[in-house]
Amino acid sequence: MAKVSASRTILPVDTGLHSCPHCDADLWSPLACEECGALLESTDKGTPFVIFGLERAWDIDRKDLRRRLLRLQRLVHPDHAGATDQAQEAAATLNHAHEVLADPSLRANLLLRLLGGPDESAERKMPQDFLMEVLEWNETLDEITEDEDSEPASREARLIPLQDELLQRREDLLVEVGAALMPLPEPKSESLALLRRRLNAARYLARTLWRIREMRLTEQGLSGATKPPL
Amino acid sequence: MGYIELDVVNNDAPRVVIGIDLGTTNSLAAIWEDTGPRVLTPDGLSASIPSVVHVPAEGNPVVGTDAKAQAMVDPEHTVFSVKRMMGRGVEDLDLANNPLPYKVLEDDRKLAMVELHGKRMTPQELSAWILVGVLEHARKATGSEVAAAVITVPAYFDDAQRQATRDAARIAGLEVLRIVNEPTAASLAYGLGRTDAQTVAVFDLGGGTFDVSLLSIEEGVFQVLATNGDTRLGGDDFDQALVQLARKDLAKDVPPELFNDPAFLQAARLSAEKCKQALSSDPEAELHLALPDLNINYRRRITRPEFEALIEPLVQRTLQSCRRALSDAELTTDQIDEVVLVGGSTRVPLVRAQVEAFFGRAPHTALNPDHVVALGAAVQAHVLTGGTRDVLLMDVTPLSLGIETMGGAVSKMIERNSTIPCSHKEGFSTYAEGQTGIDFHVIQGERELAADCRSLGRFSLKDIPPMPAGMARVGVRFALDADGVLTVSAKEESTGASASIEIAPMHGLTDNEVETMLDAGFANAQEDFDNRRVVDLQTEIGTMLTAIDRSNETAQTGLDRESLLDLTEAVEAAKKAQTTRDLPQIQSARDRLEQASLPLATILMDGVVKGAITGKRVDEL
Repeated sequence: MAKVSASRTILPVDTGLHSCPHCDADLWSPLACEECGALLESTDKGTPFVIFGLERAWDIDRKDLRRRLLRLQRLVHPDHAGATDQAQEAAATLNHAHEVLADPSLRANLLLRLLGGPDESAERKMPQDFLMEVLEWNETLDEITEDEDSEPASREARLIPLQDELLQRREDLLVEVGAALMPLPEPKSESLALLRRRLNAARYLARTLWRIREMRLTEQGLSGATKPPL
Repeated sequence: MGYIELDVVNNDAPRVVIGIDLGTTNSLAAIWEDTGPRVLTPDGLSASIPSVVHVPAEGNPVVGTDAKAQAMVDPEHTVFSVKRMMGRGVEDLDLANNPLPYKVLEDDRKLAMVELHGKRMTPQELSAWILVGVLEHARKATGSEVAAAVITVPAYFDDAQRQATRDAARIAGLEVLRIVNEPTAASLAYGLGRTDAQTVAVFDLGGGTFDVSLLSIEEGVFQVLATNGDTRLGGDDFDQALVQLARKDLAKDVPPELFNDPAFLQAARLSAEKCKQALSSDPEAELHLALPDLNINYRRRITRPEFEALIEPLVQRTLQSCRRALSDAELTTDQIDEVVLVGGSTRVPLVRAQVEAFFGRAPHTALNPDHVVALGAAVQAHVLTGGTRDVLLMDVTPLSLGIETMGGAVSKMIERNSTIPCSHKEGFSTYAEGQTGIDFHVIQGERELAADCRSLGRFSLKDIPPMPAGMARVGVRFALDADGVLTVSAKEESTGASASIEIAPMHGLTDNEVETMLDAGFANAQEDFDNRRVVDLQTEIGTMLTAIDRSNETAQTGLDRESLLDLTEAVEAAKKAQTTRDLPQIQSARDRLEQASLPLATILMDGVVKGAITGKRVDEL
């Protein structure tokens, strides 16, 4: 099996746990020891980065993340570690940590929080220029939704370009977010407020894209068309 | 069965674990053997056991082919498609459009039940009988008692349906290693030993349920990316379409009450099933209903195009589920490398054609769609008993989990298609001074209003330390385990006290109820099986004695004094046991005879090896 990447084998200092209490091997995750397979007790496992034995960073090697996920799953999944409460909790923690690190928005949110930036209730606004686009998109969507007389095919024809535009905007936004997080800003720096606004925008896009997907699925269901989604 | 086994040295009885496909129409058992799984087929019997239970007025229920044979003889007491009632209420069964020949009702917890001979039986109990039948089948095929099993359920089964399945196994006295989703199990059978990484769609259309799961298979890791389905869609509905056709045709000649007559309902269903199956291979088939007692002799030719027109809307529903799953997984059909068909209903040509058109590729049909789920379950059973660490299943929960808020909306806690095990912690507080309990309503589903979702039940937190209003901080942890089943635990954070939780399940049984069923109903089952066991053991003893008798000369000349004495005494004891019905005595006589015949077996085996005769039983020499 491939070894984990050499530059990140040692557990970050802040967890206070470096070697396995059972076999003394070096640990790279607080969940379990890969040498002896023991599940490790600890009340606070740490952030998703810590769980995966990764430094806090925006850029994550997705393939590496997946390799780590599979290695840890083999150690903590109840099917392999035994159907105990401890395994159940460890597996749940692992799955949640993976969900956060694998999704760019969730990962950015996590980093923002760890850097002491404002959360959604403290800063609700979206970037100014983005707000203008939101108004236009909402208008277009409302038009399409309210137009009950149109054919499913014509609604589909209007939804697809809108969806493509939003998808592109989401990609651009994530590039901006990435640029703001590389290198990681100083904790509590002023740039974090802008980052929060950008993430609010990302959330709007995710919700709207979901809404469009649901509309398109309903269309396809009604018309019986076998078009591929997205 | 050979008692003078080739492997005479190993006397350890290994723990027999199997995989069980507990299907709507048929059930199946499979076991892992050396290099791979195989379905269990006791001599002279087929692999599949019809999931039918016939409950006579007296004595134990009968399961399987024997039960199915009773459908026309005793239509009101022959229960089929029990799976469709598991974890469901009467409303879910839509009895107005799908009348049943047996009486169905529900209690105040909306737990659907069957009433037979004035006695109520839950679907859990009925399924337990089916499981008992499966275990008997497995015992005949393997010669050993089954210690534990992996049981499969539709991926789209909600918490109540999964719990009901676990309860059924408990009532049957069967240890469940794991509940595994059917498409995931099928993917295991498909992907075992493959080295290439693939994205696979499993299209599983069974008798009563439909699932589609999208998986990534890579290096022994089977990861579900998304799943969707319909637990009220299957081959039974294809049958019903034909039954409706018959009803329409007969409406002018037959009084309407007749359509609810149990004999009519059983006959119509069975003939529709036959016709449907015939149409899979022939362009035309006959729907034939002969019920002289009810004055019905109905024949109608139906062509494949006519049948396809009837079932087209049902097939479209399956494709809609496919679209949803692809959307959730953010995949297009181009990114699917293989489509695996599972379930007998995928034999219907229209289904195959539409699936092929939708995914843009011919489906993989090398695996028997009836067996693949049981085979996968057997693989997982092997994994869970430490057989191999090369396989890892990462499954998901099919439905979002939430709590009902004030005003009846849903607050989602766990999203659908989240990888399991997973958990979510929710904070609650009290709003009255000294309040010691909090109630909440847990639901599963995607709708905005709790009333439109599936209710899992009312949960009551009790024993919260009395405090001023709003001071108590109760952390409630909702955990979904590897089976996809919910457990809830609660702690009052400021004092650290554990709040106890009482669950009033919806569509389900409480632990106490299961215990009671275990004690009461199945005590009789034991007696029945004891009787059958006596017969089986006597047969075994008889065969052994014959074999030993045939090799008498070898025994006299080849065995040492002690072994010969041992064998002679064991034969005496066995012959005595042949005259009794005492199960323990017979069991011990049989075991003793087997032990005592080992030295003789060794001698004979040497002879066998020298004579290079392989695969023959000793008494065939």
